[in-house]
Amino acid sequence: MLTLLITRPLYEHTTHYLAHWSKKIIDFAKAKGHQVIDVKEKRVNRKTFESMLRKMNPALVLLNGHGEAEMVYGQNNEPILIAGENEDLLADRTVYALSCKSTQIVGRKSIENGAKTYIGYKEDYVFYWHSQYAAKPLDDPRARLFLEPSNLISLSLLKGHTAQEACEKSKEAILRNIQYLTATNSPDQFMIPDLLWNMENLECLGEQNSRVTSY
Amino acid sequence: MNIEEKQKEIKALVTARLATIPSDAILSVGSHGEFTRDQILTEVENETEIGKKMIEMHIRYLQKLKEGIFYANTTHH
Repeated sequence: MLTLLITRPLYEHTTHYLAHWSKKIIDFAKAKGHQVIDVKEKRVNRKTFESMLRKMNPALVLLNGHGEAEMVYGQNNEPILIAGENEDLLADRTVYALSCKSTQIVGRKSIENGAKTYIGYKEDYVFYWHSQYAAKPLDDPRARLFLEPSNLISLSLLKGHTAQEACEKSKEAILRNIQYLTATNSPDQFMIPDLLWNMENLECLGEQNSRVTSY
Repeated sequence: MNIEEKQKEIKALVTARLATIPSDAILSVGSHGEFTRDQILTEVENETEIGKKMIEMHIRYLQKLKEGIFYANTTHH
């Protein structure tokens, strides 16, 4: 059994989608008997985040939410992971940040300060959603093409794959989605440049061959 | 064709491609917010940070299209 910490801020459409789609990861982890620390909504603040890392010592940290080069945000854009301030709390852990640009600085700083692996995006993470599915994000056929490949990273890590394998599986899934849109001459082909963008900006920093193991 | 003319041509091409986005599609661009088709077109027209990103995204796509990876097997390049 391993312990994973997941952050799920929820305060507008983007975080609404990420919070719902990451529930699939929680369900999978629980079904496998892992311990899940689900930090959501107003609890996604720096104090709780730091406290949970210290007390619960998760091997895997999954961050959902907005971000930029130097930080990842929680509820209502409160910074919870900040380069030069608290990335040392990620030492010995595997991290996946579904967040914009965080590998540029805070991801690299995390590795410098002992994180085992930091997976994230070096540019903005983008996704399309369908306005008619906003109330049912898990049924949204457009968002699915973006967020399923993202989920595959966490699921692969939980299945025991290496960090590099998890990233490759995600990239392959994006490529399959692109090929599906092309092959079926789908009216949703307009999303291909955005899918490609995420695929090319996904980065795996640190130990490529590391696997998530319980302490 | 000079650089300015080429940039203008690229912008027109990207604008034409973006104009095909259905009106019920919303693009989330991280903390920049959410954009409808018309808002994306405005960003491109005004050459904002988002607009420039959209153009860059489409240029990358067209380059990859030329390489033919979207029609290959599922092995990642």
